[in-house]
Formats: sequence, C-alpha cells, structure tokens
Amino acid sequence: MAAGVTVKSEVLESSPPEGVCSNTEENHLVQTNLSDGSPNKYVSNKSVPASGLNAVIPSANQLTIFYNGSVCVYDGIPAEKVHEIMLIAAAAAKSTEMKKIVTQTTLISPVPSRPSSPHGITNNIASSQKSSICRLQAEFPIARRHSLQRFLEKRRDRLGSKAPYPSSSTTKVADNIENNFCADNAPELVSLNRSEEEFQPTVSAS
Amino acid sequence: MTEDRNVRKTRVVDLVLDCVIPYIDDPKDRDAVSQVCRRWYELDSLTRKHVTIALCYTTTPARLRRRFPHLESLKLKGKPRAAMFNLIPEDWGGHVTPWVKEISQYFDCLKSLHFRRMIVKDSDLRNLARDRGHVLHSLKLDKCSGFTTDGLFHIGRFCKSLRVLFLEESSIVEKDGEWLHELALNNTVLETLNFYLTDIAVVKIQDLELLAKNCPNLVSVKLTDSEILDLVNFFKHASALEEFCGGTYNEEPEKYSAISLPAKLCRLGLTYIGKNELPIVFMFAAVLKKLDLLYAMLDTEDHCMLIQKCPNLEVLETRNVIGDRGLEVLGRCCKRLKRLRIERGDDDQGMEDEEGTVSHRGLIALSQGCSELEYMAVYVSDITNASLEHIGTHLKNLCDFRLVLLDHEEKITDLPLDNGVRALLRGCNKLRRFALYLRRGGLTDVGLGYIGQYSPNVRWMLLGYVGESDAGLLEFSKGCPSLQKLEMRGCSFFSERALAVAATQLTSLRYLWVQGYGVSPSGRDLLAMARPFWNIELIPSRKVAMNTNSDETVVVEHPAHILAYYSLAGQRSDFPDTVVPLDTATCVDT
Repeated sequence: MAAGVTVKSEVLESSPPEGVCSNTEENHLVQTNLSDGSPNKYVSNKSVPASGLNAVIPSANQLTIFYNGSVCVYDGIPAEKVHEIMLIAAAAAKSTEMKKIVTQTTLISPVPSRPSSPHGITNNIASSQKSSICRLQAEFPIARRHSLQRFLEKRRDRLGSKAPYPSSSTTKVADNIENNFCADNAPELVSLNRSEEEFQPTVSAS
Repeated sequence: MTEDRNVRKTRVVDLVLDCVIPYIDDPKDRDAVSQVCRRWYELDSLTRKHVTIALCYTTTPARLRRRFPHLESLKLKGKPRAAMFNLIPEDWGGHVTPWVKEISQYFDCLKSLHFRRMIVKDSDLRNLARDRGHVLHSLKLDKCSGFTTDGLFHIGRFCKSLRVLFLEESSIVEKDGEWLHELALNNTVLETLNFYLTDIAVVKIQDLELLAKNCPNLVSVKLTDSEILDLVNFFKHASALEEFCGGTYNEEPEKYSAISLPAKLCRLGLTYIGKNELPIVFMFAAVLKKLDLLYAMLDTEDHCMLIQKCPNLEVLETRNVIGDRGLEVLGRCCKRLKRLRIERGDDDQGMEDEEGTVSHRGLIALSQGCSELEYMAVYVSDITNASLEHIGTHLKNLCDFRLVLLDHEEKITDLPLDNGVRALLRGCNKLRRFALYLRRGGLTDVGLGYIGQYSPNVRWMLLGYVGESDAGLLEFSKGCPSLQKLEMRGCSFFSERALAVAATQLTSLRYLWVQGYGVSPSGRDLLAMARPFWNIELIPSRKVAMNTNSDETVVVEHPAHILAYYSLAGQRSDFPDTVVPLDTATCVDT
C-alpha cells in the first residue's frame, strides 16, 4: 500500500470521483533535509480528496509524516520549515499531474481534423474517457501573459529564501495544512501541533 | 463686383479653415474632415500631427510620408496581440527597419515614436539616434524584441532631448550597463524612464542617482529588481517623482520602515513586496491613485488590508489572489476606481492563497461599489448571469470589458451566459472594446447573436469558446456595425466557410485573427473572403516547447491561425517559414 503524502489539487477537487485520472505508479519522489540532518523521502500520490484532515497531535513541536507505509516523527520543526515541505510536496504532485496532461496532449494531436459538428466532438471526447478539465487543459490551455508567466517562475525560484506568503502565526500554517493536504482512507497523513503558542524548537534548525 | 466679393469670401473661408483644422485631434473626426473635399484633404495632410498604424503591413513608409509629411508623432504596431501570450512565432514579422529608414531621411518634424510588438535591431536604434537624435522627445519600444543594450547606448549618447524612454516588457539582450550611464551623463530633461519587466539587471545605482540629480522633471521611473534599500539616495534626489515601479526586498523587514519615498508619489508598483514590508506603503496609502500588485507577494488578507487604506485609488492591477473578499473591500472603500485588471495567478493551489479566486460574488460587489469603472479586465473561476446583469445595471461608464472564465472549476454556477451578456451589452452602451473567453457551453448561438445585436459601438472584440455552430457565427456577423478588429479563439465548431462569410458580412471589419477553427481539408474555403486589398495569411499548427511550473519541458500543440487584414500595400514580402500567404489573386476580380 502506497499511502504517501497526498496533495489536493484543483483538478482533483473538480473531478467527479469516477472520472479521476489516478495512477499510483506515477509517484514523484521529493527529497529534503530536515533539522536532524538525515535525508528523507516523500512520495506524492493523487487520490480522491476527503472531507477534511483527521489529525492527531501527540505532543508539542512534533511533525508526523506518513509515507510509503512508514511513519516518521520529528521534534522541534519550525513552522516555516513545515510550510516549505508542504509546498515542495504540492509542487511535486503538480508535476505528476502535468505529466498526465502531456500524455493526453500527445493522444489528441494525432487526430487529423476534428468533425465540425458538436455531436461528433462529443463522441470523440466520450470515447477517450477524459474528464472535461483535463480535456480543456490539454486541448487549448488559456494563455497567460508572458510577463506574468516569467514573474511566477521567478517567484518559485525565490522560494528557497522566502515563502510567497510568509506567516507570522501558527494559525496560518494550520490553515494551509487543512487546505493543501487531505487524507485518503489512511488515518492521518500529517499531524501538527495547533496550539495557540508559537513553535519553540527544542533543537535549532539549520 | 459680384465676382470680387466671391473671391474675398473664398479667402476668408480658407483662412478660417486654416485656423480651425489644426485643432481637430480625434482620428475619426480627422478622417471625416479629409473626405469632405480635395481642399480639406490637403489641409488634413498638412496639419496632421499624429498617426497610429494599427498594423505595420497595412501601408508603407513612403505612402505615409506622402500622405502626412509633417507628422510629429507616430505609433506603429507589429505582431498580433496574441504575441503577448506567446502564441505568435517570434519571427512572424513586424520589422521597424523600413520605417526607421524613412523616418531618418524624410520625417523632419517627428518627435515622438512608439513601436509596439515589433522587431527592432541595434542598427535601427543607431540610425535613429544619429539622424533624429537631436529632436527626439519620446521613444517607446513597447514589448519589442531583437535589440541589445548596444542599441540603447546610441540612444543614451545622442538623444539629449529625450523626455520619455519606455522599454517595458521588451526582450532586450543585456551586454552591459553603459547605456544607462550615457543617458545619465547626457540628459537633463528626462521625465519618464521605464525598463520595467525587462531582463536588464546591470543597473548602477550611481547612474540612477545622477539621472535624478540632473533631471528635475523626472516624474516616472519603472525599473527591474533593484534592492530598495540601495535606492535611498535616488529617492532623495528624485523629488518630483510621482510614479515608481520595481524593486526587491532581500533584507530584514525592519530595515524598510526607514525608507522615505518622494512626497509626490501617487502611482506605485512594488514587485516582490511581502506582508512584512507593507508598512512602507501604509504611510502614504491615502494618496495613492494607482497600484500595481501584479508582481507582489501578497495574499488575500494583505490585499484587503492595503486596499482599505487607499480611498483615492483610481487604477488597480493585481492577480486573482485578491479574491472575492478583496473585491468587496474595493467596492466598499475605493469609490473612485476607474480601471481594474485582475490577472490569472498561479494555477498551483499551493502557491496561491486558498481564498485567491474571483467569481460572480466579487463582480457583484464591485459593480455596486465602483460605479466610475471605465476599464475592467478580470479572470474568474466562477460566474453567473446575475453578475453580468449587475454590471450592465451599475457600470454605465464602462468602455472596455474583458472577462476570461478559467478552467479551474469543473462546475460553473450558471451557464450558459446568454442573458447576462445581453444585459451587460444593453446596459453598458459606451462599450468600445469587449472580450469574452469562456468554455464549451459557455455561450450558445443565441448568446452569440445577442453580441452581434447589442454591440453597436464596439470596435475591438476577443471571443473565445463562444457559440455552438456556423449559424451562431453568421447571426453574430449580421450585427456589430462598428467592429474593426476581431480576434477569436477556440472555435473548432466554426467552419472556414462560415468564418469567411462572417468576415465579409461585418461591414467595418479590417482585421481578423482566428486560432483553433475548423480547418477544411484543402484550406481553400477561406477564399470566400477574398477581395481587393484583403490579405490572408495562415500560420499552420505547430508544436511548441514550453516550461511548466515544475521546470519541465512539455510539447504543446498550437492550433493553426488565420490572420486577415486590409492593406493598401498589398501582400507583404518578408514572410518567415512559419507563415503561409493565401494566394487570392485567382479569386479577386481586380
């Protein structure tokens, strides 16, 4: 059972359950170093979003991550570090998604010409069994202004030094957890202390 | 006696006309004047000061010179607007070289030059600087490409009277920073310096400071990502500054609270600014008229906090991270808002605020609160007919409306939008520009017919994924009596023949761009729109490599394009391999 860190995305949010394009074999590996210095691996999967995050908070300043059938518990993780980890996981999930879209693009392009009648188009789409969102994105993505595209790329490059929306409170981080992560059938993927107090790391992160 | 009196009357009439016609500025009025009689045509020729050529291939430099020999100001556009979205091949065309040659040799009165989406070479800039540098007041290279800082060096050295240097969003290859140094050394009258959103990185602060010292009328500066803390002295010297865009914030937030910005500053664009640096803006938020947050690092809450401190805001540009809540604050607090642009932010939800989507809820709050709006361009995630009806009811000054429905949400609250579109178009009777980009099922043939029927004054339209069949397109083309430029996308359900017939039926149409139409086997059905002076070009479908958000390269299929336009010059001769002219000679009875 590959119960990795699951990241909710807009495509999954929008798709009906039966139409989800999920492929557990396309796990994307994310690697990062945490404060204890040991390298760790996170595996991202796509799955149907659940209603909410079911989190258990065993103790303060503790981060628990479930991935690939294992449980890892870390002490003294600063809030901003946790935020970074989740952003990386979200980006990894996005990357997996983009691969699927590319595949769909390839499938579509060999068609020499589309029938002009809407009915014909409908048949073509129905036979390929793709959700309409995937079809829209693959078929004809909405173009973005060149300058804005370059800004968004630069902003990602700056993530190493600064998060796009730096948060000064744990509430913000908790909100991000609820919105950016979701649980499958697994009991919990991420647990984080949501006490009102700020994090007080027992081991300094470096 | 009678004859003598007639002669005197004629002279008096001529004298009056000589005095009056130079004061007629509106291009449409000018056109009308020039068609009255031969004499008025000649007077228009002699006194015309400004010309905009919407597409550089519609005429030739020599023809322009013969028609308007005393021009003082010229604006030229090259590539189709879709180039801003990377949809047009880079080598499509739009070269300024033939124009610069003509300008250098013959246009003695020309002071102001504006090239948009054109290809400019260093040699063009060198020739311009050498031959016209002493009289050039304004040079705008707007979203242009093909030149380097070597070309700008000549401009900086020889154009001592330059008041406006505008390079925004141009693709400039940077060799060094000498161009700015030359500009600072030689210029004392500069008012506007803009290299915003370029790749220019070598910017010496001393050169900016020198420019600020030497140019007391410097009112607008838009630059790249210079560290704000390094600009303290620049701001000190630029006491007349009203507009500033650019900068970056790499140091500790507390350091920025000491920044003192020029007292007259009222138009601001702070790139990469985050929540922690916002106090810089709070100090003078109350006087801000224009705010550019397109490239800021602010979430929805930050937007709300900032906007409610800006009661005098007239122009706002930002991404959809402002959210519906931000639009509600705008509607409540910014009653003077005239222009609003909300672009599409990052599609990756982890990279944007979860509240950062705009929908009918925000549009309704906006239309009720900001009744002065004239320009509104919005990317939305959800939409209803009711919101468009609200816009039609409340925004009576709207001249320019652009709406894109994003593909984030599978389920849209209220489609199709036929009735909402009709209400908007009927209510906003000052509308001159209209853009509607939806998805399949977003607008039926009936709705497309409404657009034709209720757009009497619209001159430019962009339509994406609207209508269902040829019948809708033909119904649309029975209306739109003022439509000059039409851009369409995502209309694989329109046949070539219907497009051709529509182009013929739209009586004022002079420019057509279509991507993603129903290609016929031979491609010859387009010839139904062939006629004298009407050029038709094809850009066949191609595969383009693009970088995704995750820094992977994916290959995307770009569907075929049609570009068709009237031209007095006939078919152009500088086609790249990516463009195929449609041979209309066999079908036109000239």
